[in-house]
Amino acid sequence: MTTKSVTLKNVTKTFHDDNNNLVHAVSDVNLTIEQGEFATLLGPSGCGKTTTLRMVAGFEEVTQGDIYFGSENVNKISPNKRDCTMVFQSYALFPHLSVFDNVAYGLKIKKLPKDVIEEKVDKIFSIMNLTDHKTRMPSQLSGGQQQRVALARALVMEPGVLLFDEPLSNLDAKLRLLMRDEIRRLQKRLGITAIYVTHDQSEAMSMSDKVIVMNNGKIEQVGSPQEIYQRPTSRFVADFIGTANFIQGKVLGRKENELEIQTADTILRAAAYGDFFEGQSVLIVVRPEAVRLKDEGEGSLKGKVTKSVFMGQTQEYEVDYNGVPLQVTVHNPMGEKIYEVDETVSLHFPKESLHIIKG
Amino acid sequence: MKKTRLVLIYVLLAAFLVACGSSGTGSSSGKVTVYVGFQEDHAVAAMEQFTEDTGIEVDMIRMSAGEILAKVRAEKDNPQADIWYGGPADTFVQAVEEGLLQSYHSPEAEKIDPRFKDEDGYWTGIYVGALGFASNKDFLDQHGLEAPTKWEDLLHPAFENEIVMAHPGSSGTAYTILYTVLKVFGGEDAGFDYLHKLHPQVQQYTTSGSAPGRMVGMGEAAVGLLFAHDIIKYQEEGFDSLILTIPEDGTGYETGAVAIIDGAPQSELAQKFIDWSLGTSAQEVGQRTGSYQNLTNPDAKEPEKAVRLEDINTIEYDPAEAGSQRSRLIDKWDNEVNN
Amino acid sequence: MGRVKPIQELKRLAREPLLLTCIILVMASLFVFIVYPLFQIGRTSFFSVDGSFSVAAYKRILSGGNLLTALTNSLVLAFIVSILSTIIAYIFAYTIAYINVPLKKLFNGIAILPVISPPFVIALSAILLFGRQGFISNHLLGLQNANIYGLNGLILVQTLTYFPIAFLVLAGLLRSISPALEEASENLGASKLKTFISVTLPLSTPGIANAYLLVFIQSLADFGNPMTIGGNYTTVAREIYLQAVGSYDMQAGASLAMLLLTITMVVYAIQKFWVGKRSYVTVTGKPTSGRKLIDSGWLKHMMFGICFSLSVTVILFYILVPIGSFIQLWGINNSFTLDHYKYVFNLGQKAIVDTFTLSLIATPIAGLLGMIIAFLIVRKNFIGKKTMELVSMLSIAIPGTVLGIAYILSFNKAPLALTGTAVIIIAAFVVRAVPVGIRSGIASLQQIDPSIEEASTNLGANQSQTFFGIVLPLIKPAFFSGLVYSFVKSMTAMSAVIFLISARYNLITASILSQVESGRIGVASAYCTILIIIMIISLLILNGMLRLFGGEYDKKTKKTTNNPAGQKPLSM
Repeated sequence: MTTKSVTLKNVTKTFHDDNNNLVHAVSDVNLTIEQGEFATLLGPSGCGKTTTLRMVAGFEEVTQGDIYFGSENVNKISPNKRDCTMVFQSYALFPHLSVFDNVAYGLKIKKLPKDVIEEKVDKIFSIMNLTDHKTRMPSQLSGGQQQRVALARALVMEPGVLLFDEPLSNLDAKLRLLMRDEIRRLQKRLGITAIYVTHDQSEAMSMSDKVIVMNNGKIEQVGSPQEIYQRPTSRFVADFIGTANFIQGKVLGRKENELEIQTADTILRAAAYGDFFEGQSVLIVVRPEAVRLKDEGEGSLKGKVTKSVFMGQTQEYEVDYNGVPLQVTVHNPMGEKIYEVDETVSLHFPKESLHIIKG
Repeated sequence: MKKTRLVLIYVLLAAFLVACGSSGTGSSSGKVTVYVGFQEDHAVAAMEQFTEDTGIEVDMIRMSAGEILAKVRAEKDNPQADIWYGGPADTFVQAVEEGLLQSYHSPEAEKIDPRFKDEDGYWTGIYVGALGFASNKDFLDQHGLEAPTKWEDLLHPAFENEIVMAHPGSSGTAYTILYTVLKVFGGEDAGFDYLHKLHPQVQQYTTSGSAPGRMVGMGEAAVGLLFAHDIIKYQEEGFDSLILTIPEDGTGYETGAVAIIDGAPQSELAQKFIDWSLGTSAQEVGQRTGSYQNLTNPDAKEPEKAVRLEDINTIEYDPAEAGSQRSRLIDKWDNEVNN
Repeated sequence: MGRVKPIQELKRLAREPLLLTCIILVMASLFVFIVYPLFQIGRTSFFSVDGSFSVAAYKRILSGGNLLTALTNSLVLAFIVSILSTIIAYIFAYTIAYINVPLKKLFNGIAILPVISPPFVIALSAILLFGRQGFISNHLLGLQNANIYGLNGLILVQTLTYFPIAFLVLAGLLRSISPALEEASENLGASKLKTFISVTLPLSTPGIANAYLLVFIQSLADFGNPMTIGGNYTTVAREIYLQAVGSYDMQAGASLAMLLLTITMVVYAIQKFWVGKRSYVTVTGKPTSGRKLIDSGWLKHMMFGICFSLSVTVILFYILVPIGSFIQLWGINNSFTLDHYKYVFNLGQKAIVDTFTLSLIATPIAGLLGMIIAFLIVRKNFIGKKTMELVSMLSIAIPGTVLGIAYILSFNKAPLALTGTAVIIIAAFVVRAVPVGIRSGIASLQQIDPSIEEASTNLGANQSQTFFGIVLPLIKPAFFSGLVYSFVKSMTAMSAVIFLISARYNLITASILSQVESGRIGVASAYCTILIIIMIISLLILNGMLRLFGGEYDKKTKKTTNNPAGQKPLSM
């Protein structure tokens, strides 16, 4: 199995909609996914992630730009000749073929000898615990089993690139968690390059080596899950990944690697990633779990609790801070003091959990 | 799955091959294609006889004379058939005028009375048959009527909506009737006057010339106008209530003809066919299948049951004139009478 | 996913030569066998024999006389027949959907029967029953001058022939009206009658309009019945034939054909685009469950009575033809005979073999073509797709006689000198049958997830491997019902092919017509009986094949392949 890197160079996809207006589904995407890497295209629906994936698979034509598998430009290669296989959102199992025939389908198309086909299929079945279901029809399987057949069908082809189009969205929550692990485990074990499309950020976080956040047909940010979460480069990314509070401010000055930010009622310091200049409007990103609440008077920053909900593992607050509602999450509320609505609290923003982006 | 697919492809391929093959061969070699104007059983018997006598294979289709004329016209640029066999000579005359037929003087034709053939050899008569009235005996008995013997008799009030004849447009028989009426009444105006009066008596204008005989036999109508030989045939088939009368004030007759179609793909075989059709063997087929026309070949044995032309009052029937006026008269009839 | 720029589209197609070839082939055949012939009719109608432009033929038709009468006659007939058919069909459909009566299976079956029967059966039976020597008119009622030929006979025969079409439309519709709506009405205090008038009836109005218009088109285009039983009541389809074949006035025939075509096209357009959009109920083919059936009262008895007696009538009409085929001379000499069959086997063998062979060739072509066109329309984007869809669907509204006359006008000269060949007959069969296949193909493709095909492509299959290996098996029910329909339609086709038969290829229906014309009812009945037997045997074999090839998934995978194709392949 020779797995391949995937490179997109200035890839653009335009459609004409029904009123014949030009629509940019994907614009000017540049991206490299290394060999063996698990990359996730993440974004809200309509952001172009699925279109991008389908261009890689060849189901959609590239309007402009180039796609490479390794060093080979695949623009002109028709979808059935591309060295990639896909796991579909709806699984797309052939309902008239047995599980075995579904998985063997691509190998038969390749005209491999019968014994080779059987060997390969049996091997993948044993890896995926499907051996017992070999002779069943897809409709006789549960959702999770169908999902595994779809995965087996893609894997058995030993493709250069494995593509996933929201494969878990039809499963119930528990199964989804199980399958995440299984897919990740298999991908690592086989060392295969994978491109995964989802709108579910926890899926993206938990599985990926690299997350590509897309919005409006453009890449917003590329990075590891940690980078994406902890150091978003735009308000969109910060907002889309997890929950974020934004505090407006202006850059006062730079001290070593830290920036001083003037907010409405105080000056906050935070590590600087990227270029900022004095006087620039910025947003300070604070995750709800980073905010500390203390009794009134234990700090200079004041807020008023407007909502307080007990969630079991956490206590969720909404705090009015200078007219801006802040989301605050307190973990393990059992050991903590619970503030009621209308109580005034003092707010603390630990410097290491603040992140600054352009405003 | 593969098997199904293979089968499908195979079937499709076969289908196309058959289709192409049959179009490719166009006119199959060594086979004469004949449009026959006889009744079907007569037609089939005649074709079998032909193959037996000459060893030549035949493709044939039976149609009424009008339909044959229409088909030959339609196929003018791409003739599909060689022979037009049977049907009144007037339709042949019209075809000659339109250049649809091919002249051939068969050696066999020399014996045939000039009345019954085209002097330029475009068509040759094979049989002659007079028009008659077929009446339903039960109907006559119930209404205390005699079978009609004059054309005027058909206008009797009791026959209102009780007469059947064919449509002159589609049937040569009916055109013979139309033309005969004009002759009997001594001119076009008087003739059409009569046809106008006849129209309300007519229950139905059938497509086929012989159908009225059967309808009368079935009791669906009281009187039918058609060829006497067809009436005799129906009597033979078991329609016991049929009475045949011949109009005493004059009746027309058809000359059944045969001709080679212009541009016939198999013109040599077509000539052989004409020679054969004028001979005794061909002409005697009819009486074996219940077709009792008079025959044009004087050597052929006349059917015993046939009405002899000598015994009846026939009009001067000029096929050439009848044929050349055909379109005009039918149009006139269609526009003035039948609407 | 919206439309794609044409140039890009072309580039993409160029990379899929198979698809491109396929599209070009389909487009070319649609053009050659539908568009071009219709164009030829139009041309012929405007040019006299000597080649000069003239509207004389139209003037002649519209200035009154025979041809105009034929036109108005047809409209009157269609108007009456559609009303009667729709009423009867509604009674049938309502009874089956709303009332708890016995023999529902029978009623259902009865309603389907006339759809697959040869065109003459009911007309022949009508003559045997109500003609001069008719069993009912003469023997039971003692009528001396019963006249079945004409308007009355046509109304009777066409109503019995075409009410099933209306029934199929209405049955589907009534079945899918949610009982909850009616329960809501009753719950709000409306009586059963009030509920029917204010809920059920309005909900079924689009279906009624649909059924009415479909029957209207059929009645207008009908050729076999007017030929058999029309008497002097001339109708337009028959007059086209007589003008074209009898008098060989091609211009008049073509003009009349153009007028008929225009009327049917307009009616079809109304049915498709106007009524179709007004439907409140989407016919899913899934019966809505849980309607409480009316189980007692006069209504039940009355409705049952109507359905039962109608069913008996239809059965009678069908039994009569086989019986008639064994009777020497109906009404005159009622002794048993095999003569008619001897006659058919002696003289009609060729027609039988030809009909069967040509139908057998046309069936897979029409079946496969229907699925391919459906596939292209549903799944592919290409220039001219809308045109392809429109042409292939509109062809359903082309009356057979119009198509027939169009074909003789178009295929007489090189390079398309097809007259007298099998190709022209097969083409007519296919064109007549394919729209229904396309419709059921489209319906079932729309229910199949497109990513199944993408999965196949993704796994390396090319277009044809995907089509034959995945798509076709998935829409197999639609495919087979398309095959069955094509076969039935071809075996019983007459109106179009009557113009196209030749010495080399004759057809049973043409033989029947010629027997009917010369009044040999016994022989015609024998032909009909044999035709019906051939069809039943062939359908059983086809059905067996379906079972043989039908995988187990049919029963299980209703989710992805539940298609209504089997539901109504036979309606227009």
